[in-house]
Amino acid sequence: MGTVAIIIIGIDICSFLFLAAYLKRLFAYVKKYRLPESEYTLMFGWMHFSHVIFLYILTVVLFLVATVAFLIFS
Amino acid sequence: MTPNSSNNKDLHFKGQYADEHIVAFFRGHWITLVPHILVYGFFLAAIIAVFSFFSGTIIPFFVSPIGQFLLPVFVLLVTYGIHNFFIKLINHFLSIVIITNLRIIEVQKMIFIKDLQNSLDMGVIQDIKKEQNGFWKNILNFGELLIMLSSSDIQAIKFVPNPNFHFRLINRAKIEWQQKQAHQNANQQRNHQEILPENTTIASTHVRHQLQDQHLRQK
Repeated sequence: MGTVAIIIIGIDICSFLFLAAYLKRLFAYVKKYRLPESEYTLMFGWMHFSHVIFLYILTVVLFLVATVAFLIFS
Repeated sequence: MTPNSSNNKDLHFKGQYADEHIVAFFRGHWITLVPHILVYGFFLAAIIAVFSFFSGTIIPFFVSPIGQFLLPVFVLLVTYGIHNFFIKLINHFLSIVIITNLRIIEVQKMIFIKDLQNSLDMGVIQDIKKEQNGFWKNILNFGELLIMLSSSDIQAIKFVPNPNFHFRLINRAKIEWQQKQAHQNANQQRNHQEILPENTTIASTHVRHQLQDQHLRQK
């Protein structure tokens, strides 16, 4: 495994760890607020908080998989 | 949103009083996210365009010596871009303004950096002013609420969605609070008067209060 691959995997691991730490703190904070959402409080009138979290996790994981796949197949 | 329940303590948020109920809450208008969405969209479109135009040569390029240097930089930039964009979206969800029957609470939160809470009691609010100046503010229906405080300070809440609606809500909550206070004061005064001895007609409030206190102590 080359130096470049090690650096990229290091970046991926840091990214994943940051995501995990961020989400842990976020969920601990969000638990304190149980406010009733409506179309006036959602992003663009329809986008829930959970949708954003799901997209965040999906994007980070997809990019991680894409970089690892690139390293394997290049 | 349970106006008649007697114990709302910590029901909807930590720090909620037992007799406090939520009138409404809101987040900033989505217009605040437009710059971030545009930058992220441009960034994503550029990556897709580069990969599709140079699909045949992109892998050999990243295998070349200069490509080997640029690849970690590219991965680092994209990783930073993804986290930065989603954290900004999440911050939008975390920053809220809660209007209750007793106060207005402004919460601004960023998970690792910022934690700001500002609570304005209905009693310190003198006047409320709504400002919606400009083409986009009127078209997209957002604006500012300027809250004049009794200490002659002005507290501004920016990027309020549907400012007319929230302006009305705060005004109504304030009037209800004033009526409740007036009712409580009248009740207190009535109770105080009832304990005065009969046939006591004293004009001076000071002497009257002294007498009331004496009478209470005797009781």
